Amino acid sequence: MPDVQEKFIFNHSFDELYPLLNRILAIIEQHCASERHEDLRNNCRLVLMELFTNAIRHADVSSTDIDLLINDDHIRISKSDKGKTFYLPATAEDTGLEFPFNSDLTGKKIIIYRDDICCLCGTLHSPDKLIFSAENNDTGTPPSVSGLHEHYGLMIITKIAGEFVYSYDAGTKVNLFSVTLSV
Amino acid sequence: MITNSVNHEGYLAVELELKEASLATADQFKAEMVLLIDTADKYFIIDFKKVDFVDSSFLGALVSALKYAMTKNADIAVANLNKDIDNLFRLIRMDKVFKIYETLPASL
Repeated sequence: MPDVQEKFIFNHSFDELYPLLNRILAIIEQHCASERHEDLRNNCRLVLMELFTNAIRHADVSSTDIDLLINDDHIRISKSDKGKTFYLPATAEDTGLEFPFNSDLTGKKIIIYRDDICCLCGTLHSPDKLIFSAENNDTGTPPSVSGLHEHYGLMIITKIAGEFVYSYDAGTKVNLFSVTLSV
Repeated sequence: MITNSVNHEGYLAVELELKEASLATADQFKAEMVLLIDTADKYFIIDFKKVDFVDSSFLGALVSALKYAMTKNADIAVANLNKDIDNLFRLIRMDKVFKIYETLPASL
């Protein structure tokens, strides 16, 4: 049994963002109060902010479910909604991709975006599940500023998380972003 | 206004009058930076002294402002990052893009 398992509803507005953020952070702080968990608490705040702002910016629905699970060894923060499916746009390396994708692609690692400093990738774990990963891009020369990406939300979560997964349930049409952080 | 500009020798310090630099203020920050860049100044240091927290939306606006600055032969640096913000800059390698000053320099 997890130590904590709670559900929240985030109605997409700035007025609700900070009260809900502070409510969830208070629960996390209660269970991870020690000094050695300072970075973990800050990382949870970053993850929650990125998930909330992602919901406000990209979901075409008015609310999102947030699930919090705290165990001895990990914290899992999940965001789910029935809005737009996560779409992987075409890049220089890959064609665009929509979920659920063809099962022939299972195991393929795709580039979500790449610039002169970082590369955000996703491994197609199964037709309805993608696992994010990040790689540093070292060109050995100063980065081209004009080519820099301007959306770092997924990159931040990927680099913070022990595991960051997107999955889509075609039956219920639910999108789920799940972020696991080690305690 | 969420920024307060202070002239220093060799650069313009742009103090952020915010505790949270996030989606709610990202667009306004970019608009204020564009106005400043359109003046004659060429070197800007964004002062994060009062800022406790930065998210990806604000970082995106900062990069967008830098792109605009480059088109005007100007440049942007940052200063007074707290530990968490400094960690975030290094995590997503913004330290490769922006010069990071520990504090505002007396002059440049």
